[in-house]
Amino acid sequence: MNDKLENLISAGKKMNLDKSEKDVLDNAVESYIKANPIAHVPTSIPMPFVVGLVILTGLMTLFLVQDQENLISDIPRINVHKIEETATTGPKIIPTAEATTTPPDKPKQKIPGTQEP
Amino acid sequence: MGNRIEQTFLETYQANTDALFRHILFRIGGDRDKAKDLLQETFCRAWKVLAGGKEIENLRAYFYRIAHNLIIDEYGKHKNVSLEQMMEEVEFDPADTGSQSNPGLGAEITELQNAINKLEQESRTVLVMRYIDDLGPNEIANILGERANVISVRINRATKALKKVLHIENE
Repeated sequence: MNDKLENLISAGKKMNLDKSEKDVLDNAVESYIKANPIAHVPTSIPMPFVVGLVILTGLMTLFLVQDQENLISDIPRINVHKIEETATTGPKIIPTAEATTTPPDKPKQKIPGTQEP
Repeated sequence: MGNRIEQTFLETYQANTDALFRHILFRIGGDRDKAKDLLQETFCRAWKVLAGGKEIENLRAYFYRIAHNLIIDEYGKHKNVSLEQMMEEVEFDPADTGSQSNPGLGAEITELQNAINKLEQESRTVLVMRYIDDLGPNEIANILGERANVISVRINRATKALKKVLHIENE
């Protein structure tokens, strides 16, 4: 930068408030600070935030439950007991009606020459 | 916590009072009384925001931003009067420079103020911030809400314009 410009700028930098002006300003600022103290800064969580959080949690739970229900309904219902039984003992043989009923008594052969009692 | 905020505010206030005063004074064309009013208003507004519970990361930059907005507002009030007219209305008195301890400074300050007054508002703003306040392009950009490269270009142009006004050859 040019010497002349540097001199002017350095002169400009030396321009300050006079002591009396500074005292007046200090008093004015201090009075303003005293008249306007710092507002109470809440240390607890603000109420709207809490309400919002509760609503959000509720909605998320609702969606999750609905999703789970949809998943469950998609799974085909299987009889677990039946599978277990089949796996361990093999297919159960259910006796048919023919097998269980006793055959009818054969008519006694009539021996010739005998009399029935 | 309140004490810490107040202490930080007062420390930043004490450290920047003169710099902000110069900043305002050069930008408004040398009206000392008006500069003192705007300076006080700057600190009061900053405190009001802090007392309201807002956190301010860079208090010094915030002071400059408030001062900048107040200066813009002040010019806004005088829309019917051009900036040049306003500057001409203000008679810059060399004896009123606040540098009574060094009377030789008066003429130089007057010359600088008169040269700056002849520049456009945009140029004046960046010149005062860069050379009188010693702020870097990044900090100026932050205060004015512009990009740093835009500010650098503006500083370059404004410096050339100032040299022209002062009849200094551009190197």
